[in-house]
Amino acid sequence: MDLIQRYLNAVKPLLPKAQQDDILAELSEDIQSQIEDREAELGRELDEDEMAAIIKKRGLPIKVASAYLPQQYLIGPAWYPAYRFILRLVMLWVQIPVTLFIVAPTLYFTSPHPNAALLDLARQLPTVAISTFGIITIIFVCLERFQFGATGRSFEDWDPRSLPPLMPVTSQIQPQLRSVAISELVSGIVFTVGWVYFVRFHPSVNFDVLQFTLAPVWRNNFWPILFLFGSGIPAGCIGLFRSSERLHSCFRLAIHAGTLILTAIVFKAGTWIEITSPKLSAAKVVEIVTGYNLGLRIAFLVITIIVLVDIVQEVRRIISVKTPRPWAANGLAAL
Amino acid sequence: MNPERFENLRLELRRGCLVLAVLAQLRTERYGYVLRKALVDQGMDIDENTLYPLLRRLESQGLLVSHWREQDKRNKRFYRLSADGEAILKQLLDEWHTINSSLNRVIAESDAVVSHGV
Repeated sequence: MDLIQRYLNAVKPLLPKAQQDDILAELSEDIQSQIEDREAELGRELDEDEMAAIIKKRGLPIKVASAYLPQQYLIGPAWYPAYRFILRLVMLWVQIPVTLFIVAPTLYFTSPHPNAALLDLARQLPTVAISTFGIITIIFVCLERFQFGATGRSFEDWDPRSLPPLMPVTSQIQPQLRSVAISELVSGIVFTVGWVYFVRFHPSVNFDVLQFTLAPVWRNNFWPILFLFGSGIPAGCIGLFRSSERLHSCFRLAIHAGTLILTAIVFKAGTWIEITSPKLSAAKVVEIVTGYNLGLRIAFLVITIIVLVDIVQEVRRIISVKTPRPWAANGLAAL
Repeated sequence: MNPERFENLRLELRRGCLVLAVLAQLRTERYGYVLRKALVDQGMDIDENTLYPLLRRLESQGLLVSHWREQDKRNKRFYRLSADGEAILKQLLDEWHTINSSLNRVIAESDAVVSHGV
C-alpha cells in the first residue's frame, strides 16, 4: 500500500490542480480493484514485486498525468509558418551576413587586438543566436497566447474565389511570392533614398578616430547606380499587383544584368573606401583601408554569386512555363 | 512491414470505435474498473490511461454523468449515459452502420476487381 501511495504522490503534482483529488481517488480505486482481483485469483496477498509490476504496467507518473492534460502548443498552426519564415530570415539572412561582412571586419580593423576581438566575437555568437531565437519565439508565443489570428481571421473564414487567378498556359510563369515583390519595393525605396542621401549630401562619415569617404568610382557612377536602385520600385510594383509575371521576370533579369555590369565597373576601381585619420599613423591607416577594401572585394564577389544564382532561378522560372503541372486546371483539361 | 506504422494506424482506427464502445457499455451504470473489464471481455482491449481520461472528456461534453458511491466498503465513481449521450449514441450508431456497410461494399468491390484481374 505504501507503494501505491508513493505512486499517487508522484502523479499528483503533474495533474491539473482543480481535478487532482478527484483523479487520484479514481486512480487509487482502480489500482486497488486490480490488486484485489489478482489476490482473489492467487488466493493470497500480493508481495511487493507483484504490486510493483501492477504499478509499473500503469506507466510513469508523467505518462499517466499527461493523458489528463489538454493538448498544448507554444505556437499553433496559424502562426507557425510565419514564425519559421521570420526565424530563418533573421538568423540566416540578417545575422550571419551582418556578422561576417560588417561586425567582424569592423572589429578586425578597429580593435587594437584584432585576433582576440574576433575570438571574442566567435564566443559570443552562440549566445546572440540563442537570444535571437528566444526573442523571436517569445514574440510569436505572445501572438499565439493573445489569440491574434495569423491573418486576423479563423481558418474557416476564407473564400476560394479570393485565390490568385490562373494565368493562360502560354504565359503561365509561376508567380513570385508577394513578400519578394514587397522586399523589392522596400529595398528599392530605401537604397534610392540612402544612395542620394549619402553620395550627394554626406559622402564622408566621421567616426571617433577615422573619417570614411566614398572613393571617386561611386561618384562617377552616381546616375547608373541610382537608376539601378530606383528600378527596384517599379519591379516591386509589377510583382505586387501581379500585372504581368512575364514583365516582372524580364524586369528582374534586366536589373540583375545591370547589377552585374555595374559591379564589374565598380570592382575594377580596386579602391572603394578612402580613410583618413588625424590621430592614427599613416601605416595603420593604410592597413585599415586595405582591410576594408578587402572586405568590400569579398562582398562584391558574394553579390555576384547571389545575382548569378538569382538569374539562374529566374530563367528556370520562365522555362518552366512550357511544362504546366498535371494537377493544374489547364493541365487537366489538356490531358 | 513496419510494426510501428501498423500500430499507429491501428490506434487511429480504434480511437473512434472506443468512444462508441464506451458509450454503448454505459447504457448500464458502471465504474471504471468494471467497465474496462467488460470491454476487455468483449474483445475491446483498452488501456486504463486511455479509458479514464476518455470518461472525463465525455463527461465534460455532457454525454456521461457520474457520481461517487460506496460499494464493497470503498468509494467508487459510477458513470452512465446522460440523456444527451443517449441521443448522440443513437446517431453515432447509425453513422457506424452506414460506414460499416459502405466499407463492406468498397472492400467487396476491390476484392472482386483483384480476383478478376488475377
